[in-house]
Parts: sequence; structure tokens; C-alpha cells
Amino acid sequence: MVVHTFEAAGVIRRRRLAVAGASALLLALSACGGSVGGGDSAEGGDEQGPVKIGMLAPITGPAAPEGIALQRGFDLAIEHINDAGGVFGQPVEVVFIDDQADPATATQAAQRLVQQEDVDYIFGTITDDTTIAAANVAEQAGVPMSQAIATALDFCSPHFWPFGETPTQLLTDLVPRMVEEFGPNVALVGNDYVFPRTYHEVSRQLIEEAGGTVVAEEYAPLGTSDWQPVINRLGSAAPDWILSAVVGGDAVSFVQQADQFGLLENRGLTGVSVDQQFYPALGALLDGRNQVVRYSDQLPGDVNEQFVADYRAAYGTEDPIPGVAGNAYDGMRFIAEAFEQAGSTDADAVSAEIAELEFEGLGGEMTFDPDNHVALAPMYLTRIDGGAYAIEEELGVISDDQVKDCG
Amino acid sequence: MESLVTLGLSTLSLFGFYALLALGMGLVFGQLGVVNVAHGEFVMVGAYAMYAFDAVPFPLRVLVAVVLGVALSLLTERAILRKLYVRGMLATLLAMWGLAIVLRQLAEAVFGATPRSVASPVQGSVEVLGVQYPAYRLVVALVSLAVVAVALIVVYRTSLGLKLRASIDNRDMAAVLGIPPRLMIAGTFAVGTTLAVLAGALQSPVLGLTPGLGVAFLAPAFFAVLVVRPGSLAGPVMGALVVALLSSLLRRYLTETVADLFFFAALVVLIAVRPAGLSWRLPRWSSTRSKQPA
Repeated sequence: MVVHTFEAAGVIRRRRLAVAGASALLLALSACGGSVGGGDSAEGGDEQGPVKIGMLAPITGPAAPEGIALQRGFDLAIEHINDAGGVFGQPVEVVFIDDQADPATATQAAQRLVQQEDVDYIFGTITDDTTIAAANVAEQAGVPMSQAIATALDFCSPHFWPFGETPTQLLTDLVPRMVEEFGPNVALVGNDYVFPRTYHEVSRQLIEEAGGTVVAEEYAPLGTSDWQPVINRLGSAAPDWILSAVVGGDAVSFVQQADQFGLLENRGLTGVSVDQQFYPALGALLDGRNQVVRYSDQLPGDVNEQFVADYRAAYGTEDPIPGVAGNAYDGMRFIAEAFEQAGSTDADAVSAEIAELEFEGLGGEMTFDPDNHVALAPMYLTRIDGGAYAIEEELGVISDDQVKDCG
Repeated sequence: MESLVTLGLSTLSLFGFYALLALGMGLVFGQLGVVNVAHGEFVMVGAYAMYAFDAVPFPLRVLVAVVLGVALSLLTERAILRKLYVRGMLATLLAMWGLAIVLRQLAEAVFGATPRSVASPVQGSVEVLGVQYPAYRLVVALVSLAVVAVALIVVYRTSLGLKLRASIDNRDMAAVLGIPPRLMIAGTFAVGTTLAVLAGALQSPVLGLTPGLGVAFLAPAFFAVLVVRPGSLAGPVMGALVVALLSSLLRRYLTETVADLFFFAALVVLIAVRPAGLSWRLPRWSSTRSKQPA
């Protein structure tokens, strides 16, 4: 009896192996098939099927605040696109997967999107490492992709079109103004991963160009709750203002504790930590401070007014609308327009359109730099006032000359 | 001198927080043999309770959080743990792990993922030996340590504490002597986890509230319990002091990321070298020594 079950188990195991082998082979085949199939459908001409978008966002896990905002802006864009007749006269289809801000999950999710769901475009995600993980899969499958949050991505491909603001765009006007208003001595602080470090590489250069000095530079791991040692070191460097790239719940802990330790007394504070999504928790600590943004719910114009009204109605929130939601809304509408102009779902045709498209976004005309794929749209200097990121000045389009191999 | 005072103050404020966490975790581990991996989530519950009942005055709100903590922990013990004790440590560990996920998701569903904050009831700072320090942190550290002291007095100087210690030492024998084991187990779990809820409530004005905020507190609490003799109740408090001192010292002289690395490395080494935990009583050192064969 025992031997019998043993054998049976062995058989099952062998069968499982065979199945696994076969499915691996199938997966490999379907991966090849995917790109070929994409080419086929391009020949279809006027008989286009519905456009299918794969959406990745970390709506759970450490990047959930940003992930949910991304999803909200994206969902509203899809709703508005479909209300207006969709793309190719058919509603746009969406397949959503939560990547939990985890690169391994993002890789699997992207594989599912390109292999099983056969999507025409991937939209997402939040953290740069998960975006790169998904973008690698998309690139191999020849599926175009975009993300929508402020980014220091060291990645490009012919079909990768990030809508996020670059550190250069966020800081070019902000830094000289802060030096002028508060003084030359600047303390840099951030969480310890790629984005804050790249952000501060750019800021250091801009500070020096503006005649300022970096008097302290501190990084703490994501998930740091006790900021005493960092605050002590920043304080003893006696900066005139603080540029913070501390993100997530940490941003709230850091700013709150900095205030309690008196670090913010008569000092300037700006950077990623004063972004819209932190206002509900930090409130008065942010009022009166300046921030450069591409999107604010205070932007003038009917399109934005409609977006703000729909956003507030759909999600029942009076909090400032995060920039990533505005970027996602613009980004998805931009992509839909590119599909429509291309007249097909062929990746090359869509990317060619994206490179040339001039799209009227929430804050003004949006285009892409065709060489390094940096999204170009007007930036705005805002002053935070009772939860409103009020526009003080339009800064115009800020170019970013970073060199990237997108060919 | 000034930097020494700063170091002392930051150690004190960490110690107060970790001592509450470690005492609670040690109680649960000693009495139930349960590694409460949801301990950090109970901290999160305490912090969010302070956010949710914003209209209630601060001290009263702490009380509300404590009551909520007692209710939640009794429910947890009754609904989840009671059936699992017989299945051993792994079963209870996995159950608590699951509970941690449920609590995080619940917080996200109720409060959303946007970070929240709680206003501090005590503003301003006080001067301690020439160093300005936030008044609230000092108050919280002192309140926390007072709670820990009261808890330890109850454990070592009252008949309730005697029953508790008896029950931990030998539950069957204690039961024979008329100490109700079920009540002791449920009560200890309730007290242990409520201490974590209390810690979260007290710390809430210095934290950015997110559903995942508790995750970071599991490791220091766990290490504080591990570095001392298993089953000891006062031990985790000493462990918390070691952990707080180590953390402040490392972060005083190293960058945060490197300090984190050394912190965990040091604790792993400590536990590897003395798997039975450090003993803090001199007689114990000498008695172990004398037992060694010549």
C-alpha cells in the first residue's frame, strides 16, 4: 500500500514536471507570438479591435497613497475617454493589476499583461524599481509603456514614454528662489533609495549654481519612524532651508518631528515632502511654503475644473488632488489620442505618434522630447495656502537635457 | 557634554517606547508561548484610534484606545488563539501573521492610504542640561516608564503577579493550586497587547500614520525580548534599554542606513553568542560559573 502511494506520487510529480515544461514552452512560444500578433493586427487597417490597456499600480503596500492616486486619475481618464466614444469608436478596455510596489510582483504582472491579456499598452507604476521591472518585460514584448509619477528613471526604450516630472523640471526654478528667499545654506534630506539620491544630485548642482552651499546631506531607510539623529545633524549644520525628498508616511514623521524639535523655526522647507498627498496630515506645517508642480487642482481652465469636480465627486475627497493623479489623467488621454491618430495598435505607429503629438493637458500643452523621452509641459510655482496649492507663477516648459539611449 | 545629553535624551525617549513594546511582547511570549508578530499592528491600532477619536481630549482618548485594545485583544485570544495553542508555536505565529495582514488591510479600508497625523497635546520644548528637547517626548517617555514600573510592581509584588509568575513557570501545577489557567492566559494576552496599543497611542503625535507603520516596530521589540533570559518578565525591559542604547549610539555616529545594518548585525551576533539570553544578575553569572566542571 505504502509503495503504491509512493509510486502514484512519483507519477504525479513526473506529470507535473511535464506540464510545467510544456507550459514553459508555451509561454516562450506565446511571448514570441505576442509581438508577431501585434504586427498582424496592425495590418488590419480600419477594422481595429478595442484598445486594451494594462494598468499597474501599488494600491496596497508602502507606496499605496501614490498608487491609489495614480489609479484614480487613470480611471477618470478612461471614463471620460469612453464617454466621448472611446478609441476607434469602441470603449477602451482595462486590465488592472496591483503590483504592491514589489519588483517581482510587477514583473509577473507585466508578463501576464503581455502574454495572457495581450494588452496594447501598459500604464504604471509608482516606484522606479517596479516600473523598470515592468518596463523590461514590456520592452521585450514590444509593448509600449508609460508611467506618471515624478521620476529619476535610468531607463529608456523606443516604446517607453514616462509622463513623470524629472528632478531637473521640479528643481530648476525652485532652488534659486529658495536661495534668494531664505539664504545660501541648504540641508538635503531624503529616504535612502534611487529617486531621492538622484533628486539631490540635481539639487546639489543647482544649489551651487545659485551660489548656495550644501551644509548637510542625510538619508534614512524607507520606514524610518524615529528621525531624532537626522534632525540633530541637520540642526547642527544650521541650514537656512531644508530640501526634503523624504516620502510616504516617513515624510509626515520627519516634518512633524522636525517641527517638534524646532528645526523648522524661521527656516524654509520644500521638496517632495510638501507634495499634495502629505497636506491632509501636515496641514498648517506646510501653509505658506512654496512648491513647483506640473499639476495643481487650482489650475485655471474648464478642462481642469471638470476634472476636479469629477474627481471630488467620484472619490468623495476635499483634500488637495495629488500631482500623480493629474499626470495619470493627462497621460492616459494623451495615449488615447496617439492611438486614434495612429489608427492602429501597432507599437511603432503609436510611438511615432507619441513622439510628435502636441496634446492640450490640464496645465497646458504637453509634448515629448523625441530624443530622451522626457515629458514637456508647463511647470507652476505654487504657494500652499489652506490646502490650496495656489498658482503664483507659470514657469513655462522646463527642458531636461539628460542623455538617454532611447533608440 | 551637550551631545552626551542629546544622546541620553534620545535613548530615554526610545527606551520608553521600546520598554512598553518589549514588556508586552515578553508577557505574551512567556505566558502563552506565542510569538506575537502582530505586535506592531496593535501599535498601529493605538495610533489610528487617536486619529479616529479626534474630538475627545487627549488623555481621555488614550483611555479610549486602551479600552479598544483590551476589547480587540480579548476578541483575538478568544476567536483565533484559543483553538491553536495545542497546535504549537508555528500555528499561533502564522495566525498572528495573518491577523497582522488583516489589521493593516482593515486600517487601509477604513482610513485610506493617505498618511495621517495626530496633533500633539503638549507644545514647545524644555531645556534639559542646556539642550532644548520637545516637551511631549519627555512626557511620553516618563509616562511610558511609569506604566512599565507599575506593571513590574504588579508582577513581582502582588498576589496577582505571583499567580501570573506561577502560571508561567508551571501552568499545570498552578492550575492544580487553583489558579485558573484560561483566565491567566486571556488576561496576559490582553495586558500584553494592550501595552502595545497604549504605546501606539502615546507615540501617535510623533508618527506619520500609515496602515503599515507598525511593521518597523516588530524587530526592536522582538530583539529586546530575545536578548534576555526567556520567560523573564523584567528582562525585556532591560532588553529594551540595550536595544534603545545600541540604536541611538549607532545612529549618533553612523549614517542611518549603515547604522541599521550594524544594529541588526550586532543583535544577531549577540543572540548567536548567548542563545539563552543575557543575564543581568551578578549572582546568576557566578552560579553558572561555579556549575562549570573544573
